[in-house]
Amino acid sequence: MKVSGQRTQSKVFKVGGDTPFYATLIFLGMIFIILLLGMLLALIFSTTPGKIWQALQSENIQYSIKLSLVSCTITAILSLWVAVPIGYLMSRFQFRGKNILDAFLDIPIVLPPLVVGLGLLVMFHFPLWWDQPVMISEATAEPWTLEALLREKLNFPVTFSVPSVILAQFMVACAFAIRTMRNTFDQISPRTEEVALTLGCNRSKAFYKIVLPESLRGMLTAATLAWSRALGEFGPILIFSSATRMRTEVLPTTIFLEFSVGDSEAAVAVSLILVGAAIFVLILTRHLGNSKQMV
Amino acid sequence: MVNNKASLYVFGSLVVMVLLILLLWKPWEDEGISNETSLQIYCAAGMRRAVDEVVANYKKEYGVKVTVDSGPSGELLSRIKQVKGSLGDLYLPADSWYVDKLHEEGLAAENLSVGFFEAVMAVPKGNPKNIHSLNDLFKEDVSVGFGNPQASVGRTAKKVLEVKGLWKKFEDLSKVFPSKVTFLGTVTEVALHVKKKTVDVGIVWKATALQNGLEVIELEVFKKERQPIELTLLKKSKQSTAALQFARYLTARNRGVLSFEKHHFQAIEDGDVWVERPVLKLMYGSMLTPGLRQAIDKFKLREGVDFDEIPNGCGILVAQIKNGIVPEAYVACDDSFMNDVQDIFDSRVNLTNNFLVIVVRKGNPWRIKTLKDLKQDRLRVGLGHGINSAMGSLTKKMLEKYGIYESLKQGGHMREFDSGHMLVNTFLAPKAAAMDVMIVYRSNVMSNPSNLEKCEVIELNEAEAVATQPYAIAKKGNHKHLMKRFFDVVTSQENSEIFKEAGFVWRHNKK
Repeated sequence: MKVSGQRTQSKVFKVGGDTPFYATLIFLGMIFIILLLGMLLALIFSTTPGKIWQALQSENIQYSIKLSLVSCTITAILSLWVAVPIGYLMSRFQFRGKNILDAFLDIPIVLPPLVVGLGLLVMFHFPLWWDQPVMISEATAEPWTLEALLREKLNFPVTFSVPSVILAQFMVACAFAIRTMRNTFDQISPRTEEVALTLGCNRSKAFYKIVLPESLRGMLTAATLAWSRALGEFGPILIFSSATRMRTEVLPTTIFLEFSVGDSEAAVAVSLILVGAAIFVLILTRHLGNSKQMV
Repeated sequence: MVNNKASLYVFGSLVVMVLLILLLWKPWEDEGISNETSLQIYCAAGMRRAVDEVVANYKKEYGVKVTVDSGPSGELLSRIKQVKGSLGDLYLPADSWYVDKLHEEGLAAENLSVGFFEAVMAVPKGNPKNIHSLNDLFKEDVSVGFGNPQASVGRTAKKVLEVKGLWKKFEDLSKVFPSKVTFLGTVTEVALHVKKKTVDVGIVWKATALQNGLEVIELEVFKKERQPIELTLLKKSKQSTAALQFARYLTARNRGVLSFEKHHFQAIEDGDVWVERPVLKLMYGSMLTPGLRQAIDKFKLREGVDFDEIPNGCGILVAQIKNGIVPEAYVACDDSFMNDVQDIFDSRVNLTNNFLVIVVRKGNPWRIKTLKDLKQDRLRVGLGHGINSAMGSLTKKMLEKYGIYESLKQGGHMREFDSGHMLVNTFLAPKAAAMDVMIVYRSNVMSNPSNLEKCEVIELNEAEAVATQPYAIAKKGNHKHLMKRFFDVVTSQENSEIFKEAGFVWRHNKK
């Protein structure tokens, strides 16, 4: 934002009388940038490299870094796999109730994140049948729920284990990816695609040969957005996945837990690790995106 | 070429995803979802350090993995309620109020005491504002921080200050001078604000203050209002015995409690001694066997413990106790057999009453209706031994009142037995019709319903005919908390029915 502002400024600088206007724009923009910078600097200066190193040595934090990075990546890819079809359908086709569906898809963006977690938790533990409880042991019976079904029949527990982390991240991240993909497809003119259809392609061929290559950049943006949303995800994970050490603890949970035991120094150190990881990935994808355009 | 790139993305992303999932799942390690015991404890964030340490020690000692799931107590409670207690084994909140809540929901089983929270006034190192008493909080240049008065430390502070008549003053002050009195959220936040010196003094738990490197001012009024820390077992735990064993480890005075003390929590004074599978010495009058039998078996199975049972005539038991054989708990046949050894035990609780009855053969050939009818020539009478057995001494006292005992003794047709069941067995033995009538406890006859086919029971309306059975735990016992939980099993609704069926009258009322 800052860069493009300056560029415009230098181009138009010759024209007199506009300086106050741009000065105002820059001033307003700077408020945000200075706050952001101040926040990061305060975090950086309230800790020491030694503290960060100490945090990185901890087995728990190593695990939560690993889980954070891996689960976010899985979430990003999953989101893309769902967002591309939905975005394409929403962009190319008209049907009754499309507006309602459009609003519906935005629900995870609007909902407080905690509600997403609560919703998932309730859904997985909603009794499905009333009359035939599943016997867990000779002493305990519980009604069949989605969770019980997955756990007993497929040996695939979700709540409070790693799959729940990914699912919680996915529910929010995917909504952002869908919105991005829809905008991407909206911006790609359907004309080329239609021409391909007249030249003997069927829909799937045209999609594969024309639309997909053209939307690569949009896909990268969507994936990055999903990835970074997932990295910061906290509320739903705390509720649906809990904060179990070495199992479902991701970086934001670590920060929260360190803070709640009164170790604000460790919380700051982990925050900086999180910020560092995020900046690294964002720069990397920007770079990839730019080089792709050049090819 | 473009085409190739697209397919590269499509398939590449799938491959990456599968690889990452494998990395997380690690099916080759075959550990995550294996059948080996793995327990889960929901632990309030403030106690995680101590619990982590206990968990690490437990794993080192027994190889059992315990995962610690931490967060704010209330949030943990909501989570347990949401999954209806079907996940996890133990819950350790920062306030026993949450334990009560869990009981109300019907999701909790046994409770174990861990220690106490004690509130203190916390100030930055060096006590710059020179604060020493509650009155110093009103000094003009002192700002005070309280936790949310609805929960935890805030509630305790409010309670103490209300007693002292100071709470209203603080509330009024906070309205006029918001910077003088601040209501913050959790205990950690209050401590943090004291540390960052945004407030001069905060009322927090001692453990929180010391963990945050603050200086602590202890007051007698806060000591009186210390809050219990309780660990509770979830009713739906799928491995309650393993969970209880870890809970015992966590609350043992020579194991988990040490870690809690290290992190500045106030420990319970009489914590159990850690033994992996303790053998609990239990003394009880033989008459109580039918009522205790099932409770003992049930408790053994549930807690993973063994009993060293010593059932005997109570006269003999008292002699043994006086000679230094002290059990963990003692259930006497009658109050009178507790009096002599009471100083060795904590206060007793009465469980049941048992009544002396006259038992005659079917059809009552000697037409006996009251005690006086026993004065018949050649009537052969069986009694408990006047000294060795509690029942016998009670019987003797009752008979002496009517001068019957002496005449029976002179008549030479009286036999005395050391215990009630020996007497009953002899009386009912198929061929030996050596007795016509006996005086025993109702439970001696009723514990076996088929006995009533051969004899009849005549109730006695005598004050002396009542015996009371008290339960007491040894003062210096090594497993006082275990014995308290055993008491809970003995006095459970289910077990009281067993006592009643055996002819006892149930006395103990749960609050």
